[in-house]
Amino acid sequence: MELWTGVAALDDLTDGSCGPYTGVYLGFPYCRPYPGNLLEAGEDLARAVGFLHRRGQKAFLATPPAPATADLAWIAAAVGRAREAGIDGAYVHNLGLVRLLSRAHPDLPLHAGCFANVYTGLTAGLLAGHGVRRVAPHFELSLAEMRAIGEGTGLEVEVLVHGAMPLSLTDRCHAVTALDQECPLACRGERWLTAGDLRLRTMGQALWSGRDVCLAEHMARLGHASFVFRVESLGRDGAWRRAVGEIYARLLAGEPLAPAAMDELARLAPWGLCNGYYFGLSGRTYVNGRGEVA
Amino acid sequence: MTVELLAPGGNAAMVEAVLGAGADAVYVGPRGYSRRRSSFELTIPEILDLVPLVHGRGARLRAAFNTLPATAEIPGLLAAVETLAAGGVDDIILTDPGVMAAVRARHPGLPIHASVGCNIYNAADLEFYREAGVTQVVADCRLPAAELRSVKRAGLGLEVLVHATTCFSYIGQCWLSSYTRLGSQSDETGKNHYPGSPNRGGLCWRVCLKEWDLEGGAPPAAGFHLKNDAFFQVREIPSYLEAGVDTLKIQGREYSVDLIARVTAFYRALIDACRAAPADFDAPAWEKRMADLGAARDAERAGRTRELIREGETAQTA
Repeated sequence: MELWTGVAALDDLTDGSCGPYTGVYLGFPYCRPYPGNLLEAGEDLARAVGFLHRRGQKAFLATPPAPATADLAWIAAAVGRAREAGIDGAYVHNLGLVRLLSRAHPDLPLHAGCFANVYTGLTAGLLAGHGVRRVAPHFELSLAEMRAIGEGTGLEVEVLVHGAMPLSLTDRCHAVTALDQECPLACRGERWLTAGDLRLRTMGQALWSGRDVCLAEHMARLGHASFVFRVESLGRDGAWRRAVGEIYARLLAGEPLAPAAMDELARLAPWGLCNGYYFGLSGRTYVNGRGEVA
Repeated sequence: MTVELLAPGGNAAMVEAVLGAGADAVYVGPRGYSRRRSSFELTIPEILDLVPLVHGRGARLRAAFNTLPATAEIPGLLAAVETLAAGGVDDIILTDPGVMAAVRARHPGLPIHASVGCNIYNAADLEFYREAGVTQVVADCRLPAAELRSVKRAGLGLEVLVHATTCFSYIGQCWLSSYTRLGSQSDETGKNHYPGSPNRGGLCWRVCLKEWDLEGGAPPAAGFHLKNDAFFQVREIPSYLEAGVDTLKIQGREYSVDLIARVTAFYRALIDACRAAPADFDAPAWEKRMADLGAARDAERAGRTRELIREGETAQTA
């Protein structure tokens, strides 16, 4: 059972917070000028890949979700540099980029990200023909639908088990747009869009759920041959990444969920937990381990 | 310099009205598969009944399967496409690449249009979708002119929205609505309409159009709106014709029949004037002519937005 996460910059990695994870997606795909973005920082990327490989962990490069034609060249160059640095694969949302990279690097494993909009086994199968080995089905799908995609295609299926969930993608940063000013580094602090009881985090081109997805109470029943698991830790600090990763690593090792661990996950999610999509409900609903809407 | 004027058919009366107003083609949404409330969609038999009317006016009938189906719904979707193609529907609009490839394999001669929800951002996307079977691309509202030209260079048909709404997000890349409320509502064919999820077949609660505050850091901002504007394109039309755009599309199945008929007639007149005397095109005059249409459209849209936000808030955990 694999557990993956993502980090934006070298400092997010060398603090040791990625220890509990099988593999790490490197780079911040949602804002190219993000400080220290491993997507473009060549020397830092090589250090990051070496750091992970020395610990027996995998390193993938995370690529932008909505590149323009003018972006394709620099992204392809970044992937080329990453290959020289020993990267194990690329995380790709954009379908054109999937096609482009599969032709340029036919032996490079590709993971299709959430913005690839994989809703069906047919599309997952189409992507397999382009060298994709793992898909992140769209968040709106239930666990049963995700299992069906894995069974129907033989692909690995990424399931977000914990952390903020992207809810939308656009061509601008909402923090910058709303304030009409230069980049306020919203990705490095915490900026929230609120409307009534609805709370969203703005990070780069994406809006994210204020509530953290949480499947900790369901992990014992979640096992499926095709599933690999992800903790979304972009925008979180190292202590959060390590604490959450350690809890899920223990669950994946077969340990039962300790009440103290669940309390810790709740404490680390000040705006609440959610997992409703996985059970056919609205995304911000939370279903507990007894199957009750909490 | 020929271009197709494509108008919406939210119901049979709208189909008849836009044909009378000069549309060259009409698109309709098969119920449960087309990003609208079912009251603005049509059943398969209702669509088939429209074929003689549309063809009798020398126009084309297009069916929009522009949602992303569940894997279990694909047999029903493919059967519906089969029935419509056999019944004379001329083209279909699809979003799911896997479904495109399946339809291409079954109906090699049926034109497939990639929905705006495909989020085609670049030249590599065009190649991906061309291989999946697409013959024409509906361009995202944000695509710059250079990207539009690359569609033509790729040998694909190009469709541009002249009346539409630019969501704050890329269309097809937002599930904020279903995050707040998602229903399950299956019709007699077994198709789940997923109320709250436009990607899966339901309506959008337009959560983005609430008033938002920005918290954290300084300075805070309060009471702003995420950018989400309805638009008419007028002064861009001559350049579209010059660039070889194949289809100018009017969105609006959910608006009143009268308004959409007037919008269609406006664009019919504008296109014909451009064709007849391109050098005489007077953009300010045309924009003045469409001002009252814009006001009527905004009034209808504002009322519907209030209803949807209210409806979406009634049972947010459903």
